[in-house]
Amino acid sequence: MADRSRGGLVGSIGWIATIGLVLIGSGAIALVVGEFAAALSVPEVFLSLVGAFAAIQGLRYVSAARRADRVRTSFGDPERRKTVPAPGAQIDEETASALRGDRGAASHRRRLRERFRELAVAALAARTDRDEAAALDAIESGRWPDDPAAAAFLSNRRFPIAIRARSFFRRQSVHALGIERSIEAIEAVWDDTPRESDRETSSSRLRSQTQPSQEDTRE
Amino acid sequence: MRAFDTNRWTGLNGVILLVVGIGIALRVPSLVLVGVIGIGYAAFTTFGDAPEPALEIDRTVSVDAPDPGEEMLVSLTVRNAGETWLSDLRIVDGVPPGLEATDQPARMAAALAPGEEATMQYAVTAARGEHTWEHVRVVARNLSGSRERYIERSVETTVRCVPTFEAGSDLPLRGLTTQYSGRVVTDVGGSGVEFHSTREYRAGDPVKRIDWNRRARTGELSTLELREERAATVVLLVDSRVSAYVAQDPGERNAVERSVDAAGQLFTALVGSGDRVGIAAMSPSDCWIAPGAGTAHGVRLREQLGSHPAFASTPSDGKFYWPLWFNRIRRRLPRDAQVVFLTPISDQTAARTARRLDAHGHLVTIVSPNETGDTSIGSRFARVDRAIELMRLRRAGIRVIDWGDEPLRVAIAAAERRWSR
Repeated sequence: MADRSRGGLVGSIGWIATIGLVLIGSGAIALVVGEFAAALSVPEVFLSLVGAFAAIQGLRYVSAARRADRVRTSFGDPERRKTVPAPGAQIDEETASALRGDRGAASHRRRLRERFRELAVAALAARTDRDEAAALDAIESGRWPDDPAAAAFLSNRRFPIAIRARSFFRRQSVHALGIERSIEAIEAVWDDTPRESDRETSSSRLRSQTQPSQEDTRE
Repeated sequence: MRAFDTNRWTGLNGVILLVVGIGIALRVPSLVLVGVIGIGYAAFTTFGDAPEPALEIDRTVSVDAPDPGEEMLVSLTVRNAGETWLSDLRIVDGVPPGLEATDQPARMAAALAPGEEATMQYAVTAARGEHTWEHVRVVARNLSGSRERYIERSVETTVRCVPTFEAGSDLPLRGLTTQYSGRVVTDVGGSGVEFHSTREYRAGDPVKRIDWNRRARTGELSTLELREERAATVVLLVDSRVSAYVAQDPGERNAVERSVDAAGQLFTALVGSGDRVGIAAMSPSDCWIAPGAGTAHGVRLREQLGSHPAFASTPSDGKFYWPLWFNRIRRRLPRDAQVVFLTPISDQTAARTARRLDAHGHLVTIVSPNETGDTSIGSRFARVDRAIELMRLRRAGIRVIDWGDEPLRVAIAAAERRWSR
């Protein structure tokens, strides 16, 4: 910025611009007046220095330009129909966040563990003879499921050494393994157990049959 | 809108300086000359601002009221109504979110002299609902592309695509009925087809209902009571909250579209059999048509299902407050109405709604399009979660039709077999 405290040309446009103007003016005069050009003659090495300085400055500008953002209006894809998520997309996002390895990953893992526990408790209560409290106790104590990776994830205990070592050599996160095995265990208990309890109860059928008469009486 | 720098030519000055500097340092005059050419380009980039285009835009659609699946040809004409040259225009049409351009992209690039015009054409395949085109988006750049200006122009265009719903699915209704005769067999003795009981003859009973076998056996007169068949009042309730818009495959129909199609099939069958039918949406957009009967009512239902924003194929942006909505629907539902609730059961709110309606005396039947899969951990989680919720609803005495990829009538038949067990 120009130094406003000084008067004259320097005060209004600054030192560097003033020197630039003087140099350009000298060059222009040297083009026309031969004697002036002879008086300005400088050693060859000075010219090389000027060239090198210009090249270095050019390199600086180019590298700065590589970091600069190109601004471009994005139109998106209006020709395509607006898409909707698949069921469970939120769980997939949570899983991705839980495995990211950054500072917030632990809280995502905690939330994910809660969701998986709730589902596991519901599945166990529906498909086995455990009630919800017993199911939760089995999960928290690591007694269910049998798979050690799933049990460690769901019970929030340390993964066994063997699992950690195997994950290390396979370059896979132990948490990813725990999550994968947990959903497998839940699916196994839900899909592989006979579905007697899934049927409508006799009382509900009875209710649907008796309801008409009640309603008809009301009318 | 104000023009802005695109930074497209950022770095050109550096390249020029680099080339000239090397040329001077190494005493190569040709390199210095190349640098001079670069200076020309640098001057070119600063030449002129992005123009402010004065455009006249016109859009025409080949069909105003297409049938679902019909191809519509859309034509967009852009005319330079100003006095300036528009050397670089990029134009993108705002295709409605529920439609998809099929053959060509809905965009073009043009350079327009004053008074000149350019036209682009593209085709879209019609889908159920009312579709309004969004803003046409235009980018105008100066000659070098160093400056850019973004503008939006509104061109009103709306098409309505109302399908003809086939009466393909005859849903067995539950026993909550009206006093009108219909097809729902009740436990009330009277006139009908199916045997209910016998009672002592009363003067005035129709002769054809006297139990003549008993008269022959015992000599006593008795009257046959048959199960009365009455009409039902049914409200088809479609879950079209944002969370209900789920699809196993993003390119395929989503759960709300399937629910609306199912509602269309069901209401056609129900109206045809004399039941009183209404529709409602569990959605940010308020939609309610009270139960009624007759051809005119059927036409009204069809129009609403086809074009009401609550049944759009893409989610709306409004807020949904369940307690307010539930109080409203409770006030609106007639006492004798049973509810057919079409929902993918994508969250607890849907299940809670079914339970609360059932608790208020409205027999609920859930028709649930299943969009869960097993492609990812999330979808596997959602599959088990939904199955558990359906099980709980069934245990609570609510009828559930779990509707997968099969036609609705097949899913209903499978559910009927299950209910009759």
